[in-house]
Amino acid sequence: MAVEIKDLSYTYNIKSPFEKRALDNISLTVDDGDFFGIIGHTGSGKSTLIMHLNALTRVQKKKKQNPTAVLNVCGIDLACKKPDLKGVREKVGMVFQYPEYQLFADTVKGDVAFGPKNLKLEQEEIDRRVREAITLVGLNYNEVAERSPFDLSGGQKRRVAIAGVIAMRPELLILDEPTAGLDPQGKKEILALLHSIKRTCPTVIMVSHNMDEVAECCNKVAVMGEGKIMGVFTPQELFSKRDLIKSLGLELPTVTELALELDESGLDVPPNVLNENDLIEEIERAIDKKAKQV
Amino acid sequence: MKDVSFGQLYPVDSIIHRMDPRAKLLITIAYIVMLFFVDSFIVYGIIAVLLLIVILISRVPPLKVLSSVKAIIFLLVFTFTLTVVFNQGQGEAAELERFGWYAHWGIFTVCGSGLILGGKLVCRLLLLVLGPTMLTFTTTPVALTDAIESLLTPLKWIKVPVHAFAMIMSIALSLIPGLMEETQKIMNAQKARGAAFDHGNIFKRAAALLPVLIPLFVSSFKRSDDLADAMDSRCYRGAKGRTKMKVLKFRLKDYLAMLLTIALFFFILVLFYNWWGWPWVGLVTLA
Repeated sequence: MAVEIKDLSYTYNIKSPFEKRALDNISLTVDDGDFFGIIGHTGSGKSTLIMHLNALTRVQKKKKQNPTAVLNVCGIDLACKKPDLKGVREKVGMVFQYPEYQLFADTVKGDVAFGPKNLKLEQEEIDRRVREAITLVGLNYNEVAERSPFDLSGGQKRRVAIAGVIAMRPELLILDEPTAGLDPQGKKEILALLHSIKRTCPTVIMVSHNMDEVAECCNKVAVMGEGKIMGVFTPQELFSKRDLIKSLGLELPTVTELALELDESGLDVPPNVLNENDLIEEIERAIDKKAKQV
Repeated sequence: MKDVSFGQLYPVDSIIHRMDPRAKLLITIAYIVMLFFVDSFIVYGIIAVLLLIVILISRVPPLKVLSSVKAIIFLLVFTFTLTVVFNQGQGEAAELERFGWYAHWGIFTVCGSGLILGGKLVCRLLLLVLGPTMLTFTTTPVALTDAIESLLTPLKWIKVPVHAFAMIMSIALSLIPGLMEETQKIMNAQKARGAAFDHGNIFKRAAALLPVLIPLFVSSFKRSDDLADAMDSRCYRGAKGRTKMKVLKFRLKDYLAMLLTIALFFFILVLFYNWWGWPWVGLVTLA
């Protein structure tokens, strides 16, 4: 198991007028090899949850909170008093929202090398990883390595930032809204990138608002609302539960929405299709069928 | 950083919260001036009780107010120690006669007068922090800048750009929470990449802050650029023709509060300096 969580709660500004319960008795497991999606409305506790996974937010122990909480990530116990912070930061890679805001070095190469350097690797190994990571995110190493990250375009900056995390070769990669604020083309490129990342990094957790992404990438999806896990589903199951989706203020993937409308207007298309190519096939099949009937 | 409560609004509703910010500001200034006139434990005690009454009326938990002292605890200890250790009082003989004891090691001396002086300094510093903390706990930064702008209006006659100053201040104040959040975010991101901010000597720590400071500067410049555009596109032209949504107005309670402050100020001064030689006053201050 990559992640095991039991009875985890977290309250912001405890015992003050601003008190807010962000996590409410969360229990969740993520298996090795999962591409795990976490969806939920703004303020549902997604970010607080993933911040626990590499101990940036520690399991809250004051005021007798979390007496029985279990939090195991990549075999490291994070619920104990002195968790192995260095170990967990090495094994868990975290790509925050708008990761391009964390770029700081004067060259792309230097920025991507920041993580591996903190791992105290040999210079040769660092160079190798930097080259590999920059290539993996789809940038031309020779072209960008010596440039300033601040001269790149928005999409390119984001790739550099992702490369900076991948270069640490995490066992578990966590992405918080990796496509937020990008144009459709940029989104597509980042999604394609996620697929190639999945080949090098065993387990990926992705937080997202965008149901299209979730439908396309994830094999399991946890739905969060008001600090609770409302359930863990496969995308197929999830997007056939329309009431749940609606009650949480979320949307269906565009493809599923279209399939549903086609189905309602009389074309025989299964309403739980999740990706573009499948839908096209289904539509062709339905039209053929109709033609035969006539 | 989250634990520093100095300069943070405590949003409950109370008569103190609703007071005119100018009145609160003037009262706070009077309070600070008063503290510099006063030099006796009894009077400090009286001021502390008055402050406590204000705190209770404002419905901010007293412990919350007290926690603002955390920020200056080092300063307090430092001041107290230095004052006590380097104060030689009126010399060994006089001190022995007055207090019955006197201790010194090399250049360091501990004596009764020194302890009293140190204690008074600590009281003064504590009250100096607690009073203005009450101002910021009960007044929004925006109201405060409005108050400053309004009180500085006379300076406009000698061509001081009061409005611009007030605008700069209110923008700076309103950017602080965002900046704190941004700092936290960037620190988290760099920590996730294995950065350590709490290891090594002071130079290593300073160097470790670079990956936080550079992105912070970049995003601050971007933010101010965006803000300037937003203001431009709303036709901001400085003070010219600009009206206020919330016009400040002194009400009866504000006048009363200010009168009360002046009266108390005067009372405390009398108590301390005893201009008219009232016999009972002398007893109070000497005790």
